[in-house]
Amino acid sequence: MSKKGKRRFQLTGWSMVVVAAAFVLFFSYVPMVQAFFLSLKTGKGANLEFSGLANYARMFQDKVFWTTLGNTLLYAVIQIPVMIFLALLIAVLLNDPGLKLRGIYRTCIFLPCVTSLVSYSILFKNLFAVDGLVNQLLLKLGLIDTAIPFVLTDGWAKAVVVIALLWRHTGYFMIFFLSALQNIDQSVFEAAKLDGSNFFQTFFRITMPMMRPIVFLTSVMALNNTLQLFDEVVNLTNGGPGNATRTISQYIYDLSFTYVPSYGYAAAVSYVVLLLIVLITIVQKKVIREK
Amino acid sequence: MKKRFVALAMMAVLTVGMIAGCGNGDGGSGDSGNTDAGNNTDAGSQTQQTPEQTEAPADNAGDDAGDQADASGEGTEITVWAWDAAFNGYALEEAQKIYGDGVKVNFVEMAKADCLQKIHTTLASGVTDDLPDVVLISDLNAPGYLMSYPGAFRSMEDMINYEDFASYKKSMVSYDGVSYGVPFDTGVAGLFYRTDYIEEAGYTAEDMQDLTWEEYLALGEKLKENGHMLQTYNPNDIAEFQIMLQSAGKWFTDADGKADFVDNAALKECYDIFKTLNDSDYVKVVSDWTEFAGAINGGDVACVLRGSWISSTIIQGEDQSGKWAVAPVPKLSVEGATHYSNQGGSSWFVLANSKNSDAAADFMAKTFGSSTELYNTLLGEKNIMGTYLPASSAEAYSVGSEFYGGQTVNADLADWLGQIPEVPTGAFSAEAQAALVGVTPDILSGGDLDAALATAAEQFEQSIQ
Amino acid sequence: MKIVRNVCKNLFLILVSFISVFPFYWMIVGMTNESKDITMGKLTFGNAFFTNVTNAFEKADLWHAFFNSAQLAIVITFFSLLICSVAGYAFVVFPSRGKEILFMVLVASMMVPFATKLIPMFRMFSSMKLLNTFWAIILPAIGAPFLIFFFRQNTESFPKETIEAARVDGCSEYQIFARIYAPMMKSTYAAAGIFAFMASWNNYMWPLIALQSNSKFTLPLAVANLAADFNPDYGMIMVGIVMSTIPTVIVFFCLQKAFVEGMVGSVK
Repeated sequence: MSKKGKRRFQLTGWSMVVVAAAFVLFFSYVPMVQAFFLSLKTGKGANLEFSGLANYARMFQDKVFWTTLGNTLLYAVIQIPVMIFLALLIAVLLNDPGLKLRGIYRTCIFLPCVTSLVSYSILFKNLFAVDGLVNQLLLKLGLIDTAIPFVLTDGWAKAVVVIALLWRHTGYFMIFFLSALQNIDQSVFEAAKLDGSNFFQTFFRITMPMMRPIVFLTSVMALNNTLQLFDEVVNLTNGGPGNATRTISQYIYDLSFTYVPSYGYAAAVSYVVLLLIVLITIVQKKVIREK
Repeated sequence: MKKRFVALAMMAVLTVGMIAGCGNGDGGSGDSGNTDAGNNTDAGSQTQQTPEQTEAPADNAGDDAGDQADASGEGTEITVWAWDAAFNGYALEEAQKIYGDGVKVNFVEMAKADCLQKIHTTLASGVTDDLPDVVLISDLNAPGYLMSYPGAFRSMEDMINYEDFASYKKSMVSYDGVSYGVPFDTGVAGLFYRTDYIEEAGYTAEDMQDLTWEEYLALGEKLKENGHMLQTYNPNDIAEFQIMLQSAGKWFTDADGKADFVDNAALKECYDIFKTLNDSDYVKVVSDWTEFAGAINGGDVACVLRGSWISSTIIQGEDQSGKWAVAPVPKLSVEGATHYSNQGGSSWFVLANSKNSDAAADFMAKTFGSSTELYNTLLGEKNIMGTYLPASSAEAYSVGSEFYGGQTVNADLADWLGQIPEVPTGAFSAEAQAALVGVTPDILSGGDLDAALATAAEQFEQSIQ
Repeated sequence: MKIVRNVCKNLFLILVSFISVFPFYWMIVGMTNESKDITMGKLTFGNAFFTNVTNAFEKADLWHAFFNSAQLAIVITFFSLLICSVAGYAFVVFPSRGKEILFMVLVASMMVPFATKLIPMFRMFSSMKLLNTFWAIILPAIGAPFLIFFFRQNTESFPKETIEAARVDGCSEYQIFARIYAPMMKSTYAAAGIFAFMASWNNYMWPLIALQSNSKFTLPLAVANLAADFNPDYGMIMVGIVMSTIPTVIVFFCLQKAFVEGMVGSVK
């Protein structure tokens, strides 16, 4: 391509991204930059004064910050790999054209992510209540002697949150994979079959590598979702017992709206979260790409 | 393929039309409340068009005609943000009836947490264009708002007589010596109990009137023998501490707003009681409101210790009519302890910079600020009890309640209301409770109380900086 | 062997489907039960359906809120899909260092907790005089970094030869996008359509802050109002919830066919 042609080529490219970029930059970055300046100010409510990096220093002393950050990362480490694996597995199973009833399976598995948070949190609380269905079942099976107060015990409460997240989001992430699988030429799978690969060989040698861009996308999305986890925890455990299930997002919300607002500190915590996600994402990108 | 594209394009055009309709429609209808049918293409909102809707859009259209329409029209519109239509919305409606046509109340309903969040966002942004005229704020949060947004709220000292209100309430709507809010409902606390259950355990209504916490817990043991639970227990919720502390004239924080944890005998007694409940076998363990309400309506527990607002939950168990009564709350053993306390309640706040601030202040002063008639109606019709003392002579107070076995519940509550110790709750009640909840699991599992309280105090100091 | 495998597969899927559907079933059942039965965990159909529906519609103007939400969702889905797919495509087909950086910058913006942007955004829309209008909801939703990301990742598996062939045939770059790429990526558009629709349909925090009169409220806000009473009537709430759930299910049902059809006119 000539130099001039190259330039025109690039200009066409820029013309295609400019509208979307303008929207994002204006409606997202303008508030974000303002929030960054806010993060350099301390004080309550509207009584703000510039104080440099004081908010960032404050985090080191703040035990609740570390607890909630730890909880959030723990959710991420446990839930994301399990969920992505499950979603991918289900998507591959459902992609088999020979499978009967796959339309029905697909719809069923998608349903949890549209089920309203309110209804499913009532149900989950019901299921895991002290005299709830799960306890009754375990008691009947003789697996436990006394009912477990699930949402009132540290470890169990965390487990309930993870189960709820898995239940709610697996179907959603399945759609990413399902739609991406359609973009892979079916003949590749047929060729693999002719070579005598079994299901798992095909899954790991062909499907996974070809799905790499989407696996990367989903892992970034899932990480982002988890680090911004809020509603589920508020509705299921309200952060308890103590601070055992509280998330960093819940903390940011509390700092802004539940407590006498420390908008500057809340913004600083947000920026640390942002930095963290960006760092992890860069690592993810390296890991997933360079396999 | 082609067909589908055409369909898509049509949809796009249609939707663009709809949007444009919304935008223009607002401006059009904002011009005047009467001729809004003109160019409004938004059919949905057209059916909804009432004068109440016209004010805010008028601002957006940048059109002054809206203001003029307000001035010459049937009354200034005042916008109120609050929660719970059946309670606060109803009260506003009745207030409107009493005040007459001078104003038109536009009640915008939101969930409570949403409402509080929205007030924060709006005030923090510093804008003055899009303010409501009146907001409802829960009492424990009120000092925080007053502290956060100096100049945002209007002092009502020259418009209402704060001496007419329960003294504990006045301090909750004041900040730095200035009173701002118009006091509204009370959360005067009571010990609601099942008369049939306590009789089985050998107690009489007389016995319930002057209980100490020790005696109250002993009642639990007796109830258990007859197969009943004393009360509900949620290890993650220390809301009852509010009642216990205030009954002894104490709070989570001291008068300077500093943490009052380590040397607070009342708070320590709260934790002793909490731990006793935790280790006992006569409480019904619950983890949220639904289970809590279920335990009351399902007849699992004999007693409920809450603000008077809990009555609306209790009376939902219609099959238990006549089997409930209410007594003053149990007394702590610390110095200054009483049987009277409060939990919850909210007040109205007029914004200083809103468009119709003057009209709103006048409306509030003449209704919630001074109308015995209003409070009589609210109590008689919906059991909503205010904190306006002159109203306690109103007839609705002396009516016996069938549900409570003929007890004149309202008169009793009103009597206790006047005796609630006044405590400076300060702005940081939420922070203090959060810090305590954080260490509560340690305390319950047998950790050292003083050490835990010291940790909590440290976290509290950290969080209020 | 093959039969065993098939049975295992189906058993697994049936189990997952059952677990997935159960809460949804419970929600439908809840719509027909009284509040008390719902909190007690009753799992069979009751006969309070009509009472619940009447109560729900009396308490909140659900139809109006539904209509508001539908308008917003349709407009946002259409425009965000259009704008973001072009961008996602361009990031792959016209790669350059500058675009790579821009892409990272755009994606980073979705990682900031929304609560932090709330106050600056409120100030911004207030100064633009757009609060309490639907523009305040639509404008920030159109440029969705997530959709750009999604289209970009899916475009990476798009056959480059097809584009080259079209260029040789003399198609302009925009023609290639509109006539060749877009129709071939039907399954991607279908999935993105579901995501965009859901995001708009369920959007809660920003509409709550930006919309100021009850008549402008969207369905999630109206349903939240149903649930906001001191003693919530869950039967009535379930009616609102089901009403706010069904459209997403319908959208999914309509679009899911596109998943199975695969790439239309894929190169063989």
